[in-house]
Amino acid sequence: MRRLLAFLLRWGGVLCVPGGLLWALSPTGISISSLAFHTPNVFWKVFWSAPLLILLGLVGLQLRQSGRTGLLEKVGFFVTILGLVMVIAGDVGLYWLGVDDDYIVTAPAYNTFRLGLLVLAVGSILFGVTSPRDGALPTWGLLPFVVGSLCGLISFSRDLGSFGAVLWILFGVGWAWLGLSLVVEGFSSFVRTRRATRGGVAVKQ
Amino acid sequence: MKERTLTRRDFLKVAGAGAAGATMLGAAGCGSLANSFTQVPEEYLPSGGSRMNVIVVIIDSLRRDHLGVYGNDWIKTPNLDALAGESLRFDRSYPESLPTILARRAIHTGIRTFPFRDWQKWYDEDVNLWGWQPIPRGQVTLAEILLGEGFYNLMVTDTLHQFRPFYDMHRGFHAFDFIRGQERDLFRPQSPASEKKMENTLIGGPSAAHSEEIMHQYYANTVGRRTEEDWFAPQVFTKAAEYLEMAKESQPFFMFVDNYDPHEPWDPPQKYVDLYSDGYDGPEPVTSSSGPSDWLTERQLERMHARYSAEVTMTDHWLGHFLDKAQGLGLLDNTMLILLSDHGHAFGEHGYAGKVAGALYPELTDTIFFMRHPGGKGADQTSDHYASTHDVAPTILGAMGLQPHPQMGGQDLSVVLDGKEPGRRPHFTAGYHDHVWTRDEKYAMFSLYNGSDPHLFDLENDPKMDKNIASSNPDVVKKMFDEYIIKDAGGPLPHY
Repeated sequence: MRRLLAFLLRWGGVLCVPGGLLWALSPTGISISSLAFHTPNVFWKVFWSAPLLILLGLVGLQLRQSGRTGLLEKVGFFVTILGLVMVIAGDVGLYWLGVDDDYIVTAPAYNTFRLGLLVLAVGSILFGVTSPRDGALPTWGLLPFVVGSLCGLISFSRDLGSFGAVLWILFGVGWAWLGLSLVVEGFSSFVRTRRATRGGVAVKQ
Repeated sequence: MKERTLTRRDFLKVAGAGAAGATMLGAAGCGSLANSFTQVPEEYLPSGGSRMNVIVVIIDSLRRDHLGVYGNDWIKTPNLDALAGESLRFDRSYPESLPTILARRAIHTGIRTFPFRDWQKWYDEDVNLWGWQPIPRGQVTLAEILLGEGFYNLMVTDTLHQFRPFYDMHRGFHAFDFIRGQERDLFRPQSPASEKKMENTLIGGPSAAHSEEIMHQYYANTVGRRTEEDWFAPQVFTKAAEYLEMAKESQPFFMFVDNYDPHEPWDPPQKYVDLYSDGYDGPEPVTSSSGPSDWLTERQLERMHARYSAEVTMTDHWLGHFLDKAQGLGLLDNTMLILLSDHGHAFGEHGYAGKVAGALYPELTDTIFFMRHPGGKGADQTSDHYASTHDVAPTILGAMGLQPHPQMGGQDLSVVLDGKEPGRRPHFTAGYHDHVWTRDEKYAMFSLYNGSDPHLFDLENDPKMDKNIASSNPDVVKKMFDEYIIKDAGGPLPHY
């Protein structure tokens, strides 16, 4: 049981892959929702699952490199978590609880959502920039992630239409890429270990 | 700590990612190559935020009992009745003070104008009624507050008193349109053509000279009208409808539509007059000459009332045009609308015609107050809470979750939409020049500012206030004056 838990914690970062892909697909989801239900809100009602998966994946990534993280990376991690929580809370408040129907002008859920996006992008950049020093996450996974986070920061700051939608997609792709790099690295490590083990056995024979 | 360097393999992976991203950006057009955008959705951010707009419509001089929704079965007000059905209606709405400018001051600021302390007549030619003056500089208006909240503020009005010198009731508005020419607005010089129209106008009564002065100017202002669109209510609501198109592009917006009709003079297009009167061939009673109505024959009084009713229907028609426009633009789905009147008008009901300060009967004091929420809250419901002009501003702010300005003394009536009660008002008070008025559940009373010449009425048995019972109930009169009027005024009333 403990081994299973340790395995899940170690590979929890992989959840960034589905989370990031769902995020990247959201402009398409909005279009489909608008087409099928004449409102994008049907999609937004399920959107929270994307940031939730990313959040769980991020926790997995952080656990993977726990003990090796510096102050800045910890700050990046917590800012990102805060942003994700704000996005989830804003989405649920806006589309499930209807908070803004009661506070139409102050629109707390909407503002939480939008502010959360910015916090998320800033945190992601910080997390991505500081993580390579620790070595737990592959650099080739982190660099596109940082670029994607920068794209996110631009697209979250204001509505940029189709261009913004592409930047939004790249933000999601960045997270998926980061998770994927973890899988690739894990698989490569596994193969190297197996080869080394086989080589060792051969020597003994 | 283990140092990692970028290997050749890492570089190739990153370069691959960069190429993929660049391809997507390129597909999006990324600037001038915009034609390829069609493959990429345009929408990606959640919609929401501050989306509720506000429209306030004032209909001057509209009596409560002249609407179908309040049981009137002979005046045609289909649009007002329909709006009433979509709104929360306050069946006990009264102006905290009257007439025109005093009500506007309260609506704009949320501050009671009564008891008219520190009244300063602004200039010699100004209206000589206690409390009739511009909004004092130290008072903040609703438009100014909404301006600070990012609203786009628009105002359309033909209520001439608001754009007399120094009145600046348009402060805080981004754009405003004063429809010129109502009543005695100094808009156009008099001419032989306008003077000729005086020949068929009934002038007389206690305020004959004043009425004559008004009509001279009014006819000068309205020479050359041809189609119905040239009348004032049509102009106001047509301009307001035009403003809606601009406002739609600048949401959230606050629109203030202040319509002077059916205030006298009553000269609507003949087709409206014919709805309520025919066979009349005397001089037309287009003004009431405020005071006792005994100078008018019964036929003249009927004709005057018919002309007023005709303007009510004309106003209703053009209000409908405005509401249809709002509906067509989809604005009623995210706009809160408050519609109210500022006072009524007497047509001989208690021996008076016009707006007489010493005749504070229901025909003058009873107003309408509708609140339409875009979400349908409170639709077709009624409240017997005393609602008034100074409640408008705090109600609008409250509906948006904003705190009323500390200066505001009115109540946030938006809580009624959620089935809650605003602060308890066991009685209500109002002032008009040198007279005061009050009511509670059982009685209504009005008197001079010092309590003399009281009139008391038993509302349970005499809702139209026909029988003065003050002399047989001095204790009730004293209680209502001391505990309601003096208390609400914060001490003895000023006089000028």
